[in-house]
Formats: sequence, C-alpha cells, structure tokens
Amino acid sequence: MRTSSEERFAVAEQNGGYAVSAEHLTKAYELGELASLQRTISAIANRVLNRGDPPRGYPAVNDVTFTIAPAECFALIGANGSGKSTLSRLIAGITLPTSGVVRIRGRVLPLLSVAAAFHPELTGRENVELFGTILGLDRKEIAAATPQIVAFSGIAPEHLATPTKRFSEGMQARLAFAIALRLPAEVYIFDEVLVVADAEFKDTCAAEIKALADRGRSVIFISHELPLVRSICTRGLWIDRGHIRMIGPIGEVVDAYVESRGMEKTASSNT
Amino acid sequence: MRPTAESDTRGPAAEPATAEEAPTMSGLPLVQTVAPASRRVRLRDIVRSWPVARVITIRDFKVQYKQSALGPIWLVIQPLAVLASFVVVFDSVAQVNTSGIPYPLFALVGVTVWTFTSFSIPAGARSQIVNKRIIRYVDCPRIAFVTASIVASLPVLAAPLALTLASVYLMGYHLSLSVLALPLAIAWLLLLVWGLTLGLSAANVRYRDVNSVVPFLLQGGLFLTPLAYPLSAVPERLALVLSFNPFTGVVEVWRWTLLGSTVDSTAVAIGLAVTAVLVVVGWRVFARMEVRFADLI
Repeated sequence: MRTSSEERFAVAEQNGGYAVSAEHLTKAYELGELASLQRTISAIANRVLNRGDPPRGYPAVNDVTFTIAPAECFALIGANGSGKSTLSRLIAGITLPTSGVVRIRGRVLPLLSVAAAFHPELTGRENVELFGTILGLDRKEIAAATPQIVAFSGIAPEHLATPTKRFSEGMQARLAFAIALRLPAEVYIFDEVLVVADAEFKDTCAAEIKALADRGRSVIFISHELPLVRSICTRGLWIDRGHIRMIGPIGEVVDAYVESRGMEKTASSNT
Repeated sequence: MRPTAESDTRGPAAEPATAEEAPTMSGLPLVQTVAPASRRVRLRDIVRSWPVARVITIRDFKVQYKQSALGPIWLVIQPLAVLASFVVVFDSVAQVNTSGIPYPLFALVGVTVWTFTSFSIPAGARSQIVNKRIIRYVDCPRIAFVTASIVASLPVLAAPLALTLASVYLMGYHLSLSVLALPLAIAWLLLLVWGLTLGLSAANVRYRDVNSVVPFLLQGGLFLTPLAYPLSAVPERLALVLSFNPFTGVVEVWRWTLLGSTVDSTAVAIGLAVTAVLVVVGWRVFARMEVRFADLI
C-alpha cells in the first residue's frame, strides 16, 4: 500500500519532519588547472603588477532550496553538467557548500559510482567490509547485512572469494547495489548507477528502491532514463545549469523537462 | 558520516559511529548539518576513525606483496643492502670513528630508522591520492588514510629493528638499561613521520609537486642525517646545523637506547622542538585543506 507522494509530503511538512532540507545551497568550483607552471607564473605576475587574481569560481549549484520528505523517492533530473552530482555530493557531505546549508535526518548512504570504494585486488567479500566500514557502519552491522547482500547480489559464494577486478562491470554493479540496498541508512542516493545493469536486475532494483521508501527511507535517484525515473520516483527536481527549473510531482517535472529538450532540439535543428 | 552537527561544533551526537548512536526508525534520527566550514576534522577523529584506518591497512597489507616472488623477504633484504653499502663507504673507505662500537652494528640502527622513514614518508604523502576514489564518492574520515599509511609501514620498521636486536645479542654486545627507553624512541620517530605525512599528504592533494620534493628530501636526508656516522665526528658548527634536521635527534636517541652510545643533548632538544613545530604545522595544514579534498583531488 503506497500513499501518494503529495500526501506523504504534506504530512511530513505539517510535522516539520524532513529527511533532507537544503536552503539556498550554492557550490562554486574553481575552473581551469588547479596548479600549473603557467598559473604559478601568472599569479606571481599579478602580484608584482598589483593586479588581483581573476575570479575563477563557477557555481555548479546556485541558490538551491528544496525539501525531501521521509519515505519519499525524489528524482534529480537535468542535462549533463547541470549540477545533479554536485547536489548529491553536498547531501552526502562529501564536499561542503560555498554557502547555504543542508540538513539531513539520519545516515546518508551514497552510491555515486559503481565500485566507488571497491578495491580491484580485494575479493567481493572483503570489499563488502571495506565499503561498509568506510560508510561508517560497525562490524556488527556489516556482519548482520552480509548474508542478505550475498543473497541479493545473486553472485555465487565462490565468486565472492575472487578479486573484484575479475568481475564484469555488471557483476560489480550487482554487488554495489546489493551492498547499498542492504546496509541500513535513512537517506539513499543513487547517481546514475543502473546504467550497466541488465533489464531484469534493473527491475529488481527499481522494486527494491520503492520498498526502501515503503519502509520509511528516503531515496534520491539520479538517472537519464526517464521511464525508470517515472516508475521509481514520486517527486522530482529539474536542475538546469545550477538553478532549479522546476520542482514537483514527478510526472509534471519529467513532462516539462522532455518538452524543453524537444524544443531545444527542434530549435537547434532549424538553425 | 561526518557532516557538521546542528550546534555547529561537530559533537558526538553528529557522528552515529556506533550502533548505539546510530539513528533508528523508532526514535527520530539525528540531524546532521552540512554547511560551509573552514575546517571540520578534530583531533579525536584520529581515534574515532580507527575502524576505517583498520580496513584500509588490511587492504594495503593484502595488496602490498601481490605478484611478488619474494614478498615479505624484501623487508630484510632492503636494509641489509643499505647496510652493506654503508660498511663499504664509511667503514672501509672513510673509516669513521664509532667510539668502539662495531661499525655494522652502529650503522644498522641508522639503517633501521632510515628504511622506515624512506618507506613511510612517500607512502604517507601519497595516502590521500591513492584513496582518491573513496574521497570523491564517500564521506569518510580522511585522517584515517594517514593513520593507515603509518600502520601499514610498521613492518618496515619492525623487521630491521628485530635484526638490530638479534645482532646486538649475537655479537655479545650488552644491552644497557637505556633499552627501556626504546618505546619512547620509537614514539618520537612515529610522531615525526606522522606530522610530516599529515602536511605532505594534504599539500599533495592540490600540489602534486610534493611527489617531486619527497624523493629529493629523502636523498638529502640519507647523508645529512648522522645515520652512517656519529654526530660527534662532525665539526661542532656543522653539528649544530645538522641538529635542525629532526631525524638527527631521533637517530642519536635510537643509538643511545640500543647501543648505549653517548647522546648530543643539544641535538635532542632542537630535534624535539622542531618535531613539535612540524606536528602542529602538519595538523593545521591538513585540517585546513581537508574540507576541500573532494573538490581538489
């Protein structure tokens, strides 16, 4: 039994309960080579000539405010380089904002890249412990989750004793997903990680992600596969060059996004 | 997870590191805040991040001797090879005066200190870079990579130290009571390497120039530290200059604890002061840069 997203969101807002709350979030990155001989020389020249350094900041995320309710599947959509991944890194606390603030209730489990924390020389099982520990879980929590991880990944036990460098990309994705879905957290982030999975595993994961929400967890889902986004998520945020273009029920946001892209395409094909 | 706590100081409540502290569905989970900060790593994170340091250390141990025919035997071959060259140059050619201590034994202590230093410093300076994927994709305590690099280097210290102790015993040389100070001598060496590693690993994230500086420093240090010769054999003025290399004090103390040789107390005092400065500076550099690691690496 799934309540509608608006209902969940309304209830959560009334209680002042949020899973993730971002206020005026801005993140600027430096452009260009961070350190190079050319840069060193021009910095010295600027100092000698008493010129200030040229501004190099580029806002990847610009004044973004939104709230994600508990038990909500929230989509981040937008073109490449629009700021989706930066936003998920900020929520995961991997990088700090230039200004603004994010509040998160509970533990965040980010799966931002398949095999992000996998070490190719370690076996599947050793990597489960490595990944879990790095995410801040203790040995008991990892040991409790391991049998379920093994079962869910569908990888044979003798393969789990093999270094992951011999795994295919799809198998690595399976293991990464199994770890992410079976370790306990309050907020899960999946950034474009279902790309290499086969159709069957994709369906399984989609169902599992919805199940997470049914158990009260919040999910932030990033993908360019819009049908998948529609089927998994309940609300969404469309981000464009760092700014929020739209935020609301997933159908409306995806429709608007598709429409704008279609228009851009026709516009560019006319020129 | 380590984002800053609601009350801006990252109190214990902000870090659900253990099962008891971990948020549960029954109670309201703890709120964590991610906000601009100039630094967020605390000294206590060194201890708290031990579980992460532990798995990274285990990983590094497992990976270290993969596809190596001799594996851990290298731990002994390397110091013995350096010792042999010291014996040729400083005992046979230069004939340094070691005040009655058999030269191989005298040099073995210096070799022990330097084998560890020249292994652990580059490993430590690389520690953030080699864990770049973890830094970019997970919020984990990055101080743990520094801890892990030092712990993973310990066998490189233990092997030649065992060789030294065995040689002292086999050559019928008597250990004096000063050997009880050996843990302090080891602690000093580790603290010095830790301080250097902190600063170098952080600087390396932004400036890969560190990779060019470290081998050159270690090469200089091999000669500008009294490893193969006693500080007492150096003219007084020059000895004072060498004392500002903190490894000079370290190796003097090491030889005193293991061989009962005389110690230049000025060198020890200066060495301790320089070590303190390096550790404070290293920590501050690390703490200041750590918040931007994921952006810069």
